[in-house]
Amino acid sequence: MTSPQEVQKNKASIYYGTPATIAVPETHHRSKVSPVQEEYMPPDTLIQHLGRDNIPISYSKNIRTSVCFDNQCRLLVAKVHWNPTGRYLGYSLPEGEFLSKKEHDPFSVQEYERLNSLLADPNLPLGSISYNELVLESQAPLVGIDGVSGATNQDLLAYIVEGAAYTTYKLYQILYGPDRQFIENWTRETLNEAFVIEALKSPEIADQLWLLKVLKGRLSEFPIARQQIAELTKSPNFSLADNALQAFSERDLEDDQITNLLFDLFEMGDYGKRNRILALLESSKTVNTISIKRLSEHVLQLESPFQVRVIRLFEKHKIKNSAFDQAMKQLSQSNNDFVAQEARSYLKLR
Amino acid sequence: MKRRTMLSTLGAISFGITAPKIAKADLILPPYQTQERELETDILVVGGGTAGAIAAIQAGRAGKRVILIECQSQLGGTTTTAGVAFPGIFFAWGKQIISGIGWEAVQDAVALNGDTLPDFSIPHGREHWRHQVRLNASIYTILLEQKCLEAGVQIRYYETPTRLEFDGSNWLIETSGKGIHTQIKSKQVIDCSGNAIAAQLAGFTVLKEAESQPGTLMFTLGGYDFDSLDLNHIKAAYEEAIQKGELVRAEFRGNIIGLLKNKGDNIQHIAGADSTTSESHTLTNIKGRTSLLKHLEFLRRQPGCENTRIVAMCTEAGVRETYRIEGLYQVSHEDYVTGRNYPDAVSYSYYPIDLHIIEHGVTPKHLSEGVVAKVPLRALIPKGSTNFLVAGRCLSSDRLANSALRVQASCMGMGQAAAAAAALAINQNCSPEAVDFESLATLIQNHGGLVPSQSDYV
Repeated sequence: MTSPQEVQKNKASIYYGTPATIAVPETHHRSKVSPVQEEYMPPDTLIQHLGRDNIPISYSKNIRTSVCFDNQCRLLVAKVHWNPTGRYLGYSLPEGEFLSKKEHDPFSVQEYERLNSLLADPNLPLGSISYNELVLESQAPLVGIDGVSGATNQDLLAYIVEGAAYTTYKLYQILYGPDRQFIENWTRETLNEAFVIEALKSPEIADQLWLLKVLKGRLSEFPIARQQIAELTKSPNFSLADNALQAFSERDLEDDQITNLLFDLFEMGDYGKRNRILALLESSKTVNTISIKRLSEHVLQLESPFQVRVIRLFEKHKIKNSAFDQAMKQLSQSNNDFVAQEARSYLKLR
Repeated sequence: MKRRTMLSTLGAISFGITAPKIAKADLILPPYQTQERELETDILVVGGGTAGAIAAIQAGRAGKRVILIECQSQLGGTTTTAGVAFPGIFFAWGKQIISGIGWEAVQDAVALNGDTLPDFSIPHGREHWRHQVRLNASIYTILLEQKCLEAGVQIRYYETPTRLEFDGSNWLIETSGKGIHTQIKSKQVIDCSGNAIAAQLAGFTVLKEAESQPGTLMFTLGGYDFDSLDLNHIKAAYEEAIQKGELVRAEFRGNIIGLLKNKGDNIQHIAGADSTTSESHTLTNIKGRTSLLKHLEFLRRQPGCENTRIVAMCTEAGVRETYRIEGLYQVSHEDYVTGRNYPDAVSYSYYPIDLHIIEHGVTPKHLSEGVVAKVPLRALIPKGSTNFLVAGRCLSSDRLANSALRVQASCMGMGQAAAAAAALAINQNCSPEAVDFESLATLIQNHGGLVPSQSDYV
């Protein structure tokens, strides 16, 4: 294999990507050694860019690596940028550097833009294929894509910059490889309320979803952000609302305002949301006064399976409530035996 | 007196006394005889698979007495027993289209396994599987079973129907199981067998293609490092083995690299797969396992694959297509791809037209933006039937429409709708096709299901 060769240099610096979504000016930075170790190359450094209150704004990494194929290597000198959730932000080339294709032809503007849009998609097959597959000699297989099959190497032509498959692949692997997980963990370690509030403002749903998953069960540590998250449970975007709802835990039910908000949702929301909220109540050690009151008032309006689950919840915790007892008397006369039997059983136990 | 005759007259206790070699703890019993059972129920659900388990839960939650017979040992069918544990698709164009009991079970299984749902807000593009939900099949089958029990459903595993007859007011069904012969009297029958077996036994007309879509045995391979394999070498060896007739190209779609990459996940094709009878299903399973064995032996001869092994394998092959009923309405390909609405639309369906053809492979054809297909109640009712419904892939549809309707989320929606119709038919003392549609829609919605809006019906 030949040594990496410097390619012809460009005169202007190049950046493609989107601005950081945390709109806080950078005040300082920290650095750590990247977990990625390449043969014959020193490890690169990951930089955490921070603003006021130690809010992580973005991450970056200078890359100096070889892109090799058919015993030919070219030196790739670039800088890649992530936001604090590990999402791709962009790539830049220092002044004098440029990307090239086969025969060292430099990228056109369209090719830089295409590379940027490819790198911005976290779901490309490039993330799950090995170098081995990339170099596999193309031969049309019998069939195309099945429900869960990966793409064939022919299909990969749709996911690369033509003439620069290995550069595209290399950058993609760097952006979505171990560095990304390292960055996400780094943000998790430095999580603070100021960051959470700023990050929730991100226009990218992927950022918000990442944050909600990280905050699952930890909302009581971030009381201001918790109110914002409670509002997200009403989002028309299913994934956002569902993840916001799942972030709440038994500890959050100690807050009356949150409990009331969840019950507003329970009474107004869809079947899936009611299932989530009821599951939260069922997994709690106790049922608080507000929950008892709201469930007693609303049990007659619930779908049959939820009526039965609420009855079992009251039985389990031996809850006494006159409004609920009245509701049970009505339900015991229901023409749905599934519900009526459960209500009668509850009244018998009382 | 012959020894056998003598023993049979002595009975178990005296036999114990005269057999000193038998340990004290052993209890000697008379020879086994098939037991007879006579049962009565409101709704009989035949088949506890993707549609049937949901139908049984819905029927039980609607307050009806329910018997669910399932020929295997667990619920969930394709999702669990056949191992295709990635049901979909529940969302279309940013909106939920399948909810209710199926969604509840999926949601609970995902939560209990500590998994997360896909981000449904990102359009799946050509890769519809991004919106399928990966499940732990073991958790899912347990949850289905528990939900059935909580709804008062009597589950009868290892039973299959052998005779169905309508006496003018009730269905009389005979089933055969392990050591049990059961006669069930039921007001309504829902055939969720996937093969329309109950519909066929009842004498209703069914349809089948000359060549069905292939089946798939789900398994997991291990023991090799994919990244270090010489894929070009393996590919060349594979082509050579096909040329020599040692391997059949179609069995793994000519894609040995795909087999190694996916480790067996949903890549095999079994020609002529049919799960309708024990004979045809036996043959399908044997074909699937034989093919796997041949490919395993081939792989173990390849450099880097010498230690390849089967890490897990489902107990039976999944089957995509067998029989479809001739219903009061047949959903056509045109109906499906245009999202046609109906006055009796009871659930949605959303999936690409996805015909697996052995010679041509799989070419999913996606629906146009905004299109969501619907399922009319009439497609769940066999022509000429009374108090009889089907749910799942055996609904009345042409082949292309069926290739999309057959998928798991759509089957869940159908299962819930069919059971609601059966329950309501009992309440209204009519056959399912005659139930008041507004009441049916309300009942489905009261159990979380999503019913296409009648305002969209033109």
